[in-house]
Amino acid sequence: MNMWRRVGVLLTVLCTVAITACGPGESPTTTTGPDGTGAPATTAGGDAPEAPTTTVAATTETTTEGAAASDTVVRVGATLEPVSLDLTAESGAAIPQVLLYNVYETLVKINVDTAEIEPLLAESWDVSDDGLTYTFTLDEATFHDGSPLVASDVKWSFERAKDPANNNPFGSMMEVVDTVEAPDDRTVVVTLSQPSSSWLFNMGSQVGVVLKEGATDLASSVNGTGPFTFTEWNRGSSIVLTRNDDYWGEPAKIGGVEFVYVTDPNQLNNQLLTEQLDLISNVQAPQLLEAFEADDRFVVSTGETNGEVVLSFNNARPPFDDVRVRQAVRHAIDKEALVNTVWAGYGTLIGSMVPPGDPWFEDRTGDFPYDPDRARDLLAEAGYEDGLSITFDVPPPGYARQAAPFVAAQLNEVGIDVEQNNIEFPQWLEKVFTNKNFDMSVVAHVEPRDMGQYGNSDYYWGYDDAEVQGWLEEADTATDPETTNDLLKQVAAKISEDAATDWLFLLPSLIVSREGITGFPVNAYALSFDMTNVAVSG
Amino acid sequence: MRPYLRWGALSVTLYLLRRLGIFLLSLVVASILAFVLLSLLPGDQAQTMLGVNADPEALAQLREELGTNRPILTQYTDWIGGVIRGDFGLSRSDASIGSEIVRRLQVTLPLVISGMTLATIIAVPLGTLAAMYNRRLPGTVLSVASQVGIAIPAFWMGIMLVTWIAVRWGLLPAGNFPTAGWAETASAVRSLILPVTVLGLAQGAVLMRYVRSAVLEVLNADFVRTARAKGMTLGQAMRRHGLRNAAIPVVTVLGLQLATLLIGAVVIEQVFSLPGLGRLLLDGVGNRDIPQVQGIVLVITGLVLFINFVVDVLYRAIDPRLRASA
Repeated sequence: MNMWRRVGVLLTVLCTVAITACGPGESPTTTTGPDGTGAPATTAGGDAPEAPTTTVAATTETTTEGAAASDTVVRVGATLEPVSLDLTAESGAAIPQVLLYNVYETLVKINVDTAEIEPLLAESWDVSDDGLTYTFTLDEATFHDGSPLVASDVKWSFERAKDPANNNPFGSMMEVVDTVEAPDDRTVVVTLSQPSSSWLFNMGSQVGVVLKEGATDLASSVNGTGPFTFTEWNRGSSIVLTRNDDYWGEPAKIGGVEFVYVTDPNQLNNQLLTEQLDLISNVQAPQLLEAFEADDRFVVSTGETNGEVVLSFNNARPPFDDVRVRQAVRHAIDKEALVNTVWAGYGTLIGSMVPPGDPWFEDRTGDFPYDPDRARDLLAEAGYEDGLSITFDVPPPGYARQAAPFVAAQLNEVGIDVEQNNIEFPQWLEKVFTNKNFDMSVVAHVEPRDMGQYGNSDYYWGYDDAEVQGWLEEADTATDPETTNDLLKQVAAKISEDAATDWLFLLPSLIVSREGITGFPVNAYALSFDMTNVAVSG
Repeated sequence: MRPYLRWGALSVTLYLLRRLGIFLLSLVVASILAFVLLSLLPGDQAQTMLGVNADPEALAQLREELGTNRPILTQYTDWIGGVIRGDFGLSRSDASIGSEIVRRLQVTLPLVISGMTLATIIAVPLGTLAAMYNRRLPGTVLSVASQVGIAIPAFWMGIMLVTWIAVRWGLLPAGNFPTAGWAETASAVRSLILPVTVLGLAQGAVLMRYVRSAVLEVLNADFVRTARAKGMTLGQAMRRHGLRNAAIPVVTVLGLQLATLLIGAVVIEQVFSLPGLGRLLLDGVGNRDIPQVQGIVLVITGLVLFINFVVDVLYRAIDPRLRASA
């Protein structure tokens, strides 16, 4: 009896997903509900900030001892396919997910489980006392084409990323770099124009990828230094990586990886259930996890990501230029109920733009507890005792389209009339992000340590606070980590207090794997699905 | 006899020339429409490439490099110039658009053609039976079955088949076209069985209704009554005179269904995770990859016009009266 009920529930959910997955007129790989209501899973369209949800990574921590190396090719299912292989020209998160650490490497690596900086191509480094000079000693690595890694490759790669002519989407992270020198083949000296506490961390992301000097046409030729080589890309279905047997470090424990792209989350689950996949890198329909939790052939792991689901307000124009209106919204939404409804209870509540993995994390969820009465009072104080109307632009990802009706209903309770517009991702980029023509929107911000955007008054949410800008500047130029952390805590508290935006929840890293697959990270604190430690047993 | 033949040949040539003219004109109009409509959509390729960290100068520079800031007419003529030379250009993923379309057609065409073949195999005999047993039990049962078939959404049927046949019983794969394509013939075929079944049943149910009403009409036609008056049985009358007459509306619907499915099969492609043409089109629109969308639109338009042409030719083959009047 019970089983039949479960099947029934599952089918109902499956049908909902499918209905939404097939809605016409939506953006590319996007699946959405016809009217944005109640549609479970979704995959991001386009590929920028919403891509978050597909980010997962591996860990160097998860132990794989005892698992012998095998030639098995592990098939990893994901919803969001890269648009290109050139991670220096495209911002899409799906690209580093495949290539970062697996194929291309950086001087330092961000541990995907702990968000800590670890040596990778640089076996060690020194930072001068003034925080301006970084001297890296390179490990003896080789590129996939057989040539040895030398310091001039690093110099060339960094200068290439910095040069605005190359349109690197993350080139601004290199702006602080003054010079890069290669005094000998094993040494790289980077001089910054001012101290930066975030620069080294950023070098562990795709902007810090070390390419072979003179590399061209990265979209069609992939020459990295990593433990896997790029084999082929069957557009529309999969990307295949093969173990690099000549890897300079500890070789991978599996024969290769095949990233299989399945846009329909329901189909993704079916492929794992029928063992056509070994692992799902990030489950887009948490409601469907039940099917795996009850089945001992599979292991469900839940962790954290950097993906803050930000409910953004246009701080630059009425009604959200009034702090009381923004605070009212923060009080009006029951975040716990929201996560339970929208993401099946998976996901961490956060009260500011800091995931628990960051060193300056403080629990700020108590700043604006769910309190509709307080929200009504604040609105009345702001002169909206008779209520107000706002527009709400909602891009396609599942978390957004599912959260939107919930948010609208709760705001309605306190007298805010919400007009929801579902828009495609490229349209979101133009209307909301570039033209700032919106009242309220929702999107996940997946880049690591991205609170700095609150110091940019030109950013789309238009939050302009001199104090916050000063603290952020100071925090980045401080040479002492304690000072940096304290200042960033202050920033996190202030943007929460000012309700610069609201934070609905932190996207979870949900991985389902076949029993016997080990070595992938639980959290996803870097934009890489790090397969370097993955092993297969049995 | 001779002059008649010459005139006949001339009229056929003229007819074909006219068809070819319409064909080319439609292609041009479709490609212009697609180009203009796509460029009117908000958001462009540069923006989707650089994402949320982009600054306006970098965007402007990238647009310059991509050439997307040029007048739309220049972009169009550049593109169409390439197409005339047989070059569809490169997609944003650095793939040749022409060969990518060919690769996707290797999934979509077998899917759609086998699906429609199955639909025809189901619909023609059952629709005919439903008509011949109209208002009797077998006819009613068949009509109800076809109504139910129409009412069930194809994707739902797809999910049911996947849930039971693939997941529960493990008889067939849940889609998953092999990455090596038709080189792995056996798994390619296996991966298409369920999608083709869904497509065949769903389209077959629709087609069956048309077959039934076409046959019903013929059954009541004077020439069938005359044939029966001459002593033929109903079956003989239908085979000799009826079915050919019923075929015209059925062929029309078949052609329409085929044309719709070239892109419409995207629903099935999504449910079964097949790398078909519809999915390529959706990706192209989302990435604002104008050359890729253009290439697909052109190919689809070409195929649809070709199907219409074949349907027209079939009309003339089926019904000699149309040949005379042309």
